[in-house]
Amino acid sequence: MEIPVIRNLLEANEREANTLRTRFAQAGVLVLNLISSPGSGKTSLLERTLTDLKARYRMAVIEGDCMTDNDARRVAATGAAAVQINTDGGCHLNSAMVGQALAHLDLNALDILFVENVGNMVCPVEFDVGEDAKVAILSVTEGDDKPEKYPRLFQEAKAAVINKIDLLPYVDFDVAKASAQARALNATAAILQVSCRSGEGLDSWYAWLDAALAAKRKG
Amino acid sequence: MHEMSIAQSLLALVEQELQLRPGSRCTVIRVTHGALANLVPEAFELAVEALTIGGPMQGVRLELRLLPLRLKCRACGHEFEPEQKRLGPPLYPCPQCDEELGHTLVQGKELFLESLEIETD
Repeated sequence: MEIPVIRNLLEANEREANTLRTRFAQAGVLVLNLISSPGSGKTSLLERTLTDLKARYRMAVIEGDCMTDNDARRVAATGAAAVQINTDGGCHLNSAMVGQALAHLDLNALDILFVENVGNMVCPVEFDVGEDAKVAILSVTEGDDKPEKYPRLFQEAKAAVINKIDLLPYVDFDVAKASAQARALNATAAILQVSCRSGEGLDSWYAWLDAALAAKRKG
Repeated sequence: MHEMSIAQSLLALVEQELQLRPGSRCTVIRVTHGALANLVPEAFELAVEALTIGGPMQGVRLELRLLPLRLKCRACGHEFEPEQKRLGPPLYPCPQCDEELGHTLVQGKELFLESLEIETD
């Protein structure tokens, strides 16, 4: 006998994500889910942001990694609150993990919460953690065809940050090609070029954060 | 590797459905997945097999149905199913007006349990 069911396989994750989204909305916190391959500079971008915007915003970070609290310690060195989640080999954060991490944070004392996902451009895209926006990060030491290879991330991310542009003279990365691919997948996403090492372009990222927070507060 | 977490969610849903029908046994699970759901069928089948070995659902058959990508053209509103590209830039020109950019996704991200085949003692 056939029984029709029609239930979303990710419904447990999405139910919890919606609960988190309500909590984030009540506290007026902008939540950004940072997704990239390992080594693209997610933690470096956070270190710069947390340091440069310290006087402007109250910020905290939830760090996802398979193992170690290395990233949480790097982030905490800037003075921001950091909570480490170890997935013990898991390839993405899910909403239950982020919910548990919130026990260590006071949402009402925050303007922006960054969730640094496990370095991986596939699964983290599928698991909603209640964020306002996904941010894709891509560095110029990687292939310039990443958007084409991982389309769903670039389709969904509201901003694509191209990092390490200080290295452009030494690598074959074609910024125009990567940008065109990202644009083809998402006509409205911001495409930002930055170097966390030299600081070049970070103003554009900070302006994007200002606008995203203002939009969130406006509802 | 996320196929394992999805398989765990799937089997939890199947168990909930079986509890509503005491004395029943599931023989086939039908899952529908969109072309952009990033589900690798072989990995998913292996995960379901690994999670059901030695239990009441051992040997359950998984039937996967792939939903193709479906887009709505930004310029003319025409809905079309482009061929999923493996090579070349991710541009899907509208067959009606050739617009390449800004299409809306109508179908492709689905991932759901569609139906179960059950036997009752």
